[in-house]
Amino acid sequence: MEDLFSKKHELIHPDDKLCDVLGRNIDLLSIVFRFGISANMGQDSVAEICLKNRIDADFLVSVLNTYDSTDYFPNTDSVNLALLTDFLTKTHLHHKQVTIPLLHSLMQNLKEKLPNTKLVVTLEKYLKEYVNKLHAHIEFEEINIFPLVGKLNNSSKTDEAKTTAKNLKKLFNQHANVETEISDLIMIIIQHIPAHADLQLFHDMLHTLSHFEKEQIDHARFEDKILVPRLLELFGINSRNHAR
Amino acid sequence: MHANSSVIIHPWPIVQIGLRSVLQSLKIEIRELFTECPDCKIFAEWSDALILIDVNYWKYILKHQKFLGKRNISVVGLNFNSHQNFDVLLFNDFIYHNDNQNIILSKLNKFSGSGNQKSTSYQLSPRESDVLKLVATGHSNKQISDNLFISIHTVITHRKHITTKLGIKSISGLTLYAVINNLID
Repeated sequence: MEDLFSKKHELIHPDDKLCDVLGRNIDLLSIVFRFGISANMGQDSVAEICLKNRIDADFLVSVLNTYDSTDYFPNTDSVNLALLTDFLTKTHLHHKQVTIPLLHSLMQNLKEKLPNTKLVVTLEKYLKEYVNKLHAHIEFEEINIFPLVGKLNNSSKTDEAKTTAKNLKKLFNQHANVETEISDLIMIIIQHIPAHADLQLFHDMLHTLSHFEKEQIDHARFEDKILVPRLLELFGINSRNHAR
Repeated sequence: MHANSSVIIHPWPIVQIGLRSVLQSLKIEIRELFTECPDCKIFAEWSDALILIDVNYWKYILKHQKFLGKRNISVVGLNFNSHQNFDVLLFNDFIYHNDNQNIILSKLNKFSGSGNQKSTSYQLSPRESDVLKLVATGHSNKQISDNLFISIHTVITHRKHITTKLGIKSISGLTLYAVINNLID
């Protein structure tokens, strides 16, 4: 008899049908959309769809596996950094255009159901402050970190090493705060769901926050475990002070 | 949050008589009985107390909520006939018209200081609440240490316990928790 508990998580391969991959983990759908894949996927494999949409199949498979399994870790050296920063930028855009408006909309619904309650007023304030910090963090990455990838072949990289090291250290700290604050928000809401409240509304809010938290953790994994070590190495910076 | 004395605010004498009997069995002294909300000055004098109040008087609690956390006051809503929309977070618990004696005893026992029930491991101690208030208002470990006359090492230990008990790690999260639970304004 098959031991279900010892069964290894199956990795996604380029030959797998994309519809099967998404059927196993529907959360990957938003990742696929970010690559511009949406309509008419039919029975095509990941590789076939990548070919049609001019996407690097190996890179897409690495991204899908990273989001699909926390145990999976792509070969750091083989990841194309330009593709990675492009994907991370698209993820930022997804947060700004989809996730954050959705959270605001759910908060608005809570306000309508529980008007003038201290819980909702305080949660709304916390969420606004969190979103402001997230925007600042996204801006910091897009201005100070991602452009470094384009400068790797530049002869002046040694001069920038000090600033780069400082910025990368700041990035680690920001990631820690962004993840912790969203996890705290989830915990506080769970602990304070009022009696007689619209439970579906709280469920939707918690589910969205939880999904967002997981995305943040996976996003930070790409940056902290792939992008940052590669940048440290390529800029010739000692990585000992940057371990998370 | 343990109370040694209580105040009942409810217009029905039969409710007052019933609650008096339950509170006496829990050794919680009944400080005062009111059929309607008393003068605000009286509220300001209460501390370490349990208020049992008709939920229809929720605006009275709302008006005084800044005192609740600071003076260790718990509020139980007597919810028998209310059709009003009120902020449920103003109350620590509710007693309903169909609660039987055991349920009422069990609900009020949580607030009893008689030792009938040990405080659960996840409740903050008074000292941890003091530290949380200062953390939430932006004080550093050194400032908390000076303020409470304890060592920085003790402050750090209290902070670890707070994080473990509440499951909240960030200063922003702790501030949110302290505001919702009326520990700070």
